[in-house]
This record gives sequence, structure tokens and C-alpha cells, in this order.
Amino acid sequence: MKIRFVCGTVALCVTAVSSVARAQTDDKTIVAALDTKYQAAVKHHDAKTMDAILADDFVLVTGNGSAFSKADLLKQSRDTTEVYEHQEDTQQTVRVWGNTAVVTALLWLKGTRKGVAFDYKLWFSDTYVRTAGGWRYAFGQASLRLPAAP
Amino acid sequence: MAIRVRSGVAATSGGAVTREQEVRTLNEQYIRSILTGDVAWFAVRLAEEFVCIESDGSVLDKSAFLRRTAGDASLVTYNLDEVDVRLYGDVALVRAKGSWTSKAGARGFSRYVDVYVHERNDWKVVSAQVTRPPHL
Repeated sequence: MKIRFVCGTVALCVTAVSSVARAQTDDKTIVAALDTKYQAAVKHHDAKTMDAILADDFVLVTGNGSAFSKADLLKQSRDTTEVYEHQEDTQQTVRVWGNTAVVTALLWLKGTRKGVAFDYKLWFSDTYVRTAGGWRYAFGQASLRLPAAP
Repeated sequence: MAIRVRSGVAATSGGAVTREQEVRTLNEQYIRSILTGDVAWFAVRLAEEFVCIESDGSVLDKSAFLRRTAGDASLVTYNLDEVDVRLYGDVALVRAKGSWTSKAGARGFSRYVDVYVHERNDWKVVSAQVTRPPHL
């Protein structure tokens, strides 16, 4: 009887641990896909999708130390003088702790801004927070542009 | 309100302490440890999975960060101008802006975001990103 109780308790614990691990994996997958979707929305000037992903109190700090709000980014998205050929990340890593997730990745930006070409890479970390409405992108920070590869 | 440091976290003179106060104190200790090159503080406070993205885009894990801290106490002052702490359950997000002076007399400012996770009754830093513009 006692052995059966212990086995039952261990089985419950194993089930609980695997459920937590599975939930974390699910969250990683969701956040990874969301961040990829966000980068694509920036590339395609899709302000509606950006609006849905960004938290209302969102802040982005760029490599030169400037800070931008959600409204700033949505306004920028509607400015079609910026044309992206590339706006995708690689080396994406997602880490999840409860209701918070941090995405780190190397972003490649290539295109033209008011007719002037740009082509550079930078590292960023994006912080996502789980809300009642799902995961939202709450804070982003970018490095300086990386030196061009020789 | 007087804050003293006990076992790495803050406690008010009345005994009660909020998680936000704990994180704010840790943030101040973080800056102090950068200024003094206090590798021991970081060895305890950084999670093993810690990752830092530096302003120049270099990505440092915990051991690389400790090596850099040991050999790079180049700042003499760092004043915290803005600190915003947000708590999401067992996770705290610290966003701050500060102004610094280097040993050579140069001045500048930086912005950073640090992510703290509360595990086993203690806070650990799991992620950091620093932005240090090249010019004022």
C-alpha cells in the first residue's frame, strides 16, 4: 500500500515536471514565431500586425541610445520611404521564465532609406511579457551596428 | 527610508521589503561592482545561463563577462539618472539610463536592460543588454 502510494506520488511529480517542460517548450515556440512575425511586419510596413504584437507601454532603445515608443514605431512603419530588402534575424535564442521571455538574435537590415542604401547587422534582445491577451513585445534594445565583414 | 544590505538583498529598517526594493538595491550593487571590478559579486549574482549583449554587439556568457569585469574597471563614476523596475511574477525587468565618467575624463551616458529571475529565494541576473552611444 505504502509502496503504491510512493509510486503514485513519483508518477504525479514526473507528470507535473514534464508538463512544465512541455509548457516552456510551447512558450519558446510561440515567442520565437511571434518575434519572427514582428520582424516580417517591420519589413513589410505592416503596422496592424506590429500594433497587435507591441505592448502599449513598449519602449525600444536603439544603438545610439535613442528611445522610441509604440506610437513612434507605428508612425515609422507607415513611412514608406524606407524599403527593406532584408529585415530578418538569425542565431535566434528564446529563453522563458514564467511570464517573461527574452529573445536574443542577430538582425540583418538591408534596404534604402529615402533613396540612401543601408546594409548592416546588429544584435538585439527583445523582452516579451505574457498578458491576458497573450504574449506581447514589451521592450527591445539594440547594439551598435556591427563592423562590416571584410 | 533606510535601506541596508543583508545577504545580497535589501531590507527596510521596519523589516518588510518589497521585491522592487530588492531589485533596486541589486541594481545599485551591480553598478558599484562594475566600478570596482567586483568579480566576486557577479560570480554570485549572475545566473549560469547569463547572457550579455554589449554595446558593440559582442555577446558574452557568464565566464566571458567575469573576465571582462576583472580587466575593465575603466569608469570612475556612474550616476543612475533613470531607473524603471517592472515585476512580472518571479521576473524583474530593470531599465535604466546613467551617465558616466571614465578614468581618462571622458563622459557619456548609457542605457541598459537587465532581467532578474527570483529562484530558490534569491535573485539572479539572467540577461543584460547595454547601449553606450559613441558620442554625447
